[in-house]
Amino acid sequence: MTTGPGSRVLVLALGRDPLPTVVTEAALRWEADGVSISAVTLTPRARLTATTAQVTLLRRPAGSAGIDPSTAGEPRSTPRKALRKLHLDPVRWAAILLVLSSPQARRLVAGADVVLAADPASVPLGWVLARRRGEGKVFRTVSAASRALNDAARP
Amino acid sequence: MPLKGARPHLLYVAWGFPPCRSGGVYRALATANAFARDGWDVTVLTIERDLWERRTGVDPALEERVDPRIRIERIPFDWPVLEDDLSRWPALRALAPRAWVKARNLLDQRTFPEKVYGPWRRHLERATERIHAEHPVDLVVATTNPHVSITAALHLAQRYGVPYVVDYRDAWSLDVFSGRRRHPEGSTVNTWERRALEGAQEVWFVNEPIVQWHRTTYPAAAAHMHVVANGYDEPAAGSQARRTDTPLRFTYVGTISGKVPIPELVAGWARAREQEPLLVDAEADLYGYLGYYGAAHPELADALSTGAEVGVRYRGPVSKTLVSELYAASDALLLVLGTGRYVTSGKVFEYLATGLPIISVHDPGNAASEVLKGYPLWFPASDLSPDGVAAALRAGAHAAASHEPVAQAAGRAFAERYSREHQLRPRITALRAAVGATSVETM
Repeated sequence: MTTGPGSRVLVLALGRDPLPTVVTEAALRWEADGVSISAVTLTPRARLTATTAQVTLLRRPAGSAGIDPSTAGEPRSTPRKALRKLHLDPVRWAAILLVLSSPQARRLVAGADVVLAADPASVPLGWVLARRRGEGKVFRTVSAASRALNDAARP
Repeated sequence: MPLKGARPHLLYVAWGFPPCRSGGVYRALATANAFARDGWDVTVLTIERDLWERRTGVDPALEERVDPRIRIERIPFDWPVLEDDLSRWPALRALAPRAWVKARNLLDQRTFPEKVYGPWRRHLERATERIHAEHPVDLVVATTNPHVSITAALHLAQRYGVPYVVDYRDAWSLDVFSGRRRHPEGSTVNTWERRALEGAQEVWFVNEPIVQWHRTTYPAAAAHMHVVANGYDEPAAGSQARRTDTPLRFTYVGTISGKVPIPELVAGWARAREQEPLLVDAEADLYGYLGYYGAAHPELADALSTGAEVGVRYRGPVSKTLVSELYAASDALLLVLGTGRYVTSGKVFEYLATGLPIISVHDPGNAASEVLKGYPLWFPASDLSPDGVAAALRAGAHAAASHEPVAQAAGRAFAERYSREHQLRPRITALRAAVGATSVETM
């Protein structure tokens, strides 16, 4: 693995909500340190930085007016609530399939030195990647991903 | 009992010990150092440094304050919920996170009824056994929380008859913020607590309201319960002579958690600035960590953002070693505390030691009010409304602007009763007598 300046971080953000501030701020810091950043997001609304190489799985937010009902404050439907209780969030699992079936997304995943599963929806895919790549490559928190970059950059 | 002339051996159990930077660590540091100064062989049993270094941050300057005669035994502490490398996550956690949390909670409490910390019991008991075999322990002081620390004391008491003290500080069964009982009579927690308190040589608490609650709840242990207030370590440096042409500077130092009424302080400050010329250019600087784990509560973040527009500024954390310089450069101190009849705070004692005006922004029924009652430069808010806070700030500003050395000296004289030395000395003397050793105090 090559990390430190010149290394590549992939941010997985497969949830429906906009990216958390802590992630966007970290991305700006990493970019300033010379780290190359890419992102796989569900919709174009989640934007990491102006220069991030980004693959978007859906062309626009879901819902009739192009607004994801869950982020527009509308309550989830009863079937969706039931599925979530069973940990079968349809969006979460569908997003995994979309990533695996997108050649562009697969290339980003393959080229990343460090992967950040930035939201809960990205955890199952992140976990699968972590099982294949081993320790110290796929993280759930920004601080852990930053530590991995710093540790490897240290002489 | 130690052999005649031998130094008694204290085993001090504290989950949080330097370089940990949490609020409670100062008491642990002061207690271990006080026993070492009194001529005890002190072994501190605590967790590995890794957790502090990787998760919560450290204060290296605090570690330098540990008496070099103290032996520190660091043992593992697992905190699976904080594991952030997904390769170490079990499948259940990745695929069914809520089910994993439920399972984890059950597993954590299998041997001791405390989420997250329960599994530490295994490491504690193994370590106490080894330490006692290497150098027999004459007294255990187990400091909470986490409450699992008491298992180390109970283990040596049960197996070898070693007396123990529980430094409870706050409470386990009592919610100090709401005043409600958290664990009912007959619960597993209640059973452990009763056993720990009734078998103890002494039990220490930080303030009188908490002691009273426990005396009522566990009358069989009432005679062994004592107040050991947090106190202050050393008097702060004298404040610099105030220049009348500079704006007043107010300071807050402490962890800024979601319970601290910063939004109320900001609202009161804004109101006071409209009413009081002395406050128009004044500044309130807030120092401390945001939350216990380094993240600000959203409501708090909003308040800090609003505050920056009216002169209330968050300045970030500050090392304990630099706090006295901050006090010396301040004209008045802001005591902003969460609500609760049972809530005191370490900083109230530090504040007292400065002799500076103290503006209280907390519920008047807070236990800190009992500590401050009689302090000549105390300006408490009558309530947490903008007007209540503003009135206290205005009164404090006038006292700060006049900067009377006589009043400051009177304040410091009042504070002497709350030095750590004053709080710990009677207890250490009593415990030395209890374990049958003679005093060999050293510096």
